[in-house]
Amino acid sequence: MNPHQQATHESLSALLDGECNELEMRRLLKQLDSDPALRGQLDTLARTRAAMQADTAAWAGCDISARVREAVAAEPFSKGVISKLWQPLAQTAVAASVAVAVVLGVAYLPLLQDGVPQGVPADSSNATHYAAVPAGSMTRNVSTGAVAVPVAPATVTHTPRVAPDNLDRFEPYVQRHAEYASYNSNSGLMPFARVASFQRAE
Amino acid sequence: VFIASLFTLWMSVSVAVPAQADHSEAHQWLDRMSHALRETAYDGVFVYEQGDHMHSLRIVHAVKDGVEHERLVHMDGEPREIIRKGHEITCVHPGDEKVRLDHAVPAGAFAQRFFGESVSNLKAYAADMGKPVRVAGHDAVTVVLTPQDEWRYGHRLALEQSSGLLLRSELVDAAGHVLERFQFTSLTLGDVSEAALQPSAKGHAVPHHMPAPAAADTVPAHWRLAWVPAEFTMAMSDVSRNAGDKSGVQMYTDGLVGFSVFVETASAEQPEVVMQHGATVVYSRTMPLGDTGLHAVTVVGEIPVLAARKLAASVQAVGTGNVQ
Repeated sequence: MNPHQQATHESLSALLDGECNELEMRRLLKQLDSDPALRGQLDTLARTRAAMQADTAAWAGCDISARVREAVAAEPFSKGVISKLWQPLAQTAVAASVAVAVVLGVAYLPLLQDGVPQGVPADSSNATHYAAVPAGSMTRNVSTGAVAVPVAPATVTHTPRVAPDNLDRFEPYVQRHAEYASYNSNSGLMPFARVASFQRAE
Repeated sequence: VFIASLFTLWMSVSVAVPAQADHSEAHQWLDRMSHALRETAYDGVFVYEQGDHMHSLRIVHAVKDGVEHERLVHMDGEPREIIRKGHEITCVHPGDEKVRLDHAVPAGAFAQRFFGESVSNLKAYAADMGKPVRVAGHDAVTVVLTPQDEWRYGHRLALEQSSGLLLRSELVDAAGHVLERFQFTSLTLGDVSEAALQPSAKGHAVPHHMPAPAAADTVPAHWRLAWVPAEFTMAMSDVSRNAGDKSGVQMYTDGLVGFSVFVETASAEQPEVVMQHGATVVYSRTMPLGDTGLHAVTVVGEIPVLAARKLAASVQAVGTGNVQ
């Protein structure tokens, strides 16, 4: 992430946290109106955060920035409203110190239940999203949101260089799962190919 | 627009014959596939692609005297092989690397069910025929499996025209993105020599034996899943034999993919971890389990993260008060 991207990321993060000042919020909302990529970025950031919280909520394919705008329109410049958008959020955020911080953009909480915009911008289905990840990590988005089936868009992040031990911690589980799957499904040794791929992800 | 594009993605691979005939034909092909996977002799190289990683493996498969023999050879990186004879697996590694396998006890009838059951009656997916394709020099039919709920991925399978052998398999999320792909690049069907099934790599061989199902020996787990996605059935359950150790694992499958849930006692809260590589998700959290204290719950499987997360959250203590 270059300094400019970092700054943008921090701004969006602050917006979601309700920590923007009034001026900054207006600037961002204006920018969001004209910049689909930025909307995508906000969208991904929001989903990433919600992914760490949501249990059963369905990803509705909504435009996050539209939600923010709506919230602001409903209660202009209310820091409280913005905060409510992402409550509760923080306690399980992936810490930069967690070695393998793989953040998946998943369904987010059905926030602002009333007045959720039904329309989805045409570009949202094709937008490439990049999630907030610890510095030095690799992020790859392999899908975007879904509507009919609320399956997660998968944003994959590996930071094994930071602390490879943590990746190792989960290897035995993947290995064992592969063994069980090999015995108990119709895929033969194929599950072991998955393990190999997992081990070599770094 | 989103719904339309999603629908188009699914439909684009399933436009062929009328729907009714389509379903039954697809199921027949799935039936052939499950037999071919176990009964056909073949020797080929396939690539396995996950995210932006790809590597190639050679697979040799044959049935000798009624016993399945399989050999998987990593063609990239350090030489590694996995040899399977029936229920016996041997991993061949360079050096003395250890690969563990504890007393995994298949859950009796369930395991047998999945050993022997064809995949043609997969209720969790709608099966349709797709367009014919050509893979690794072989003509193939395509079967599209669309999940009937949000707790699993879809599959696109290319099956060799004469044998039904799986030539290409793609796991697809709801947006139509391929999360992982197996695909043969070369394949010889028919007789496989004994030599082709023998390990070529020198190294440390670690044999694993899957014990026969022994229901009476199964120690009851002190936890259970309050929620399991429809059509996933327990295939294996195991608990630690060590006194005082409350760890255990349960594996479930819907016939095509599976997930394993590991529950272990934990000494301290750990941050929630979500990892996904291709179609494989690892989700881990700590949670209190009845009056048995803090536990680490780890879900690994080829399922969407939402499912893994919900599964972990559904772990409940069994017989709370009786287990210390």
